[in-house]
Amino acid sequence: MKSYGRVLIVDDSSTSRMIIQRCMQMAGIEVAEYRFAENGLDALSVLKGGGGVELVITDINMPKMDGRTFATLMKGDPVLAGIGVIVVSSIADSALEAELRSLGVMAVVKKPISPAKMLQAMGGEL
Amino acid sequence: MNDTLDPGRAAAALMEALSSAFADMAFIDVQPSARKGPVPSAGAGAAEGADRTVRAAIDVLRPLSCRIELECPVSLSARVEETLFMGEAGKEEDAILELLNVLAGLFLSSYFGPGTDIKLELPQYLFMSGDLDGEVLAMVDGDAEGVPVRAVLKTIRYRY
Repeated sequence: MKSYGRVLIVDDSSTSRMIIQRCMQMAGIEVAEYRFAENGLDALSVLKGGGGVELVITDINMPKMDGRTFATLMKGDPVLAGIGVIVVSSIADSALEAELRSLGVMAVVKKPISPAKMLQAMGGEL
Repeated sequence: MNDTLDPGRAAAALMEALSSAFADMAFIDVQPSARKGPVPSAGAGAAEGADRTVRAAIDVLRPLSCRIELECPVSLSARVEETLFMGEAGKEEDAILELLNVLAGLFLSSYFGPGTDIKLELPQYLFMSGDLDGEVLAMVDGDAEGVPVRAVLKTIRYRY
């Protein structure tokens, strides 16, 4: 059973944030606390504000700062680089996955997501 | 864009994406429909409580510049929200936008194949009626368990 203290979900769509959280719950992934951000810029503020986020799940297509830029900045920051990142996007494919994995992203999941996809992204199976 | 897009193949990919997006996100079965008329709309002067139309669009910047629109009655939009939010309909307002975002990703992956560099704008609701915004390249009508739904692929006409 996977478990995390704090997980940050970054997506401009409130519907998508809810779906991601629900899929995590349905997959049996225990999370003590969820935090939310609507774009990469807000997410960086949350992370730099401390709070011990262990895992970030982020969309790509967002206003102000997209997920690609956010992941790049995060992985380039020595303080934040160790936090796990999973990208969830409607435009995810093998090319994008290769690019993001080279940055240090754990997994890339194509929307629509499911509990099984989320668990697989974390190295488990339903 | 017309030079590089096969309307028949685009329509097939659009229908497949429409069906998959509704099935995977909202557990609603969408089958191709023979109906070719507009999605029912209350329009100006219609009776209060009539099933108004929701229109949403997402612009594609890469690999080709185009727009994908989704059109359905409010009742279908509400059902999507109800499914996603487990009965708490009206809690969020962007369920159809997220569904369109997923539909666009499915369509582009299906039509252009894996490895294509895709860039999308953010999905948005359309509030103006009429077709002021480009040439229709492909249009599919679906039957969402008795409720009409339409997806349209258009060129983009930018206004400055």
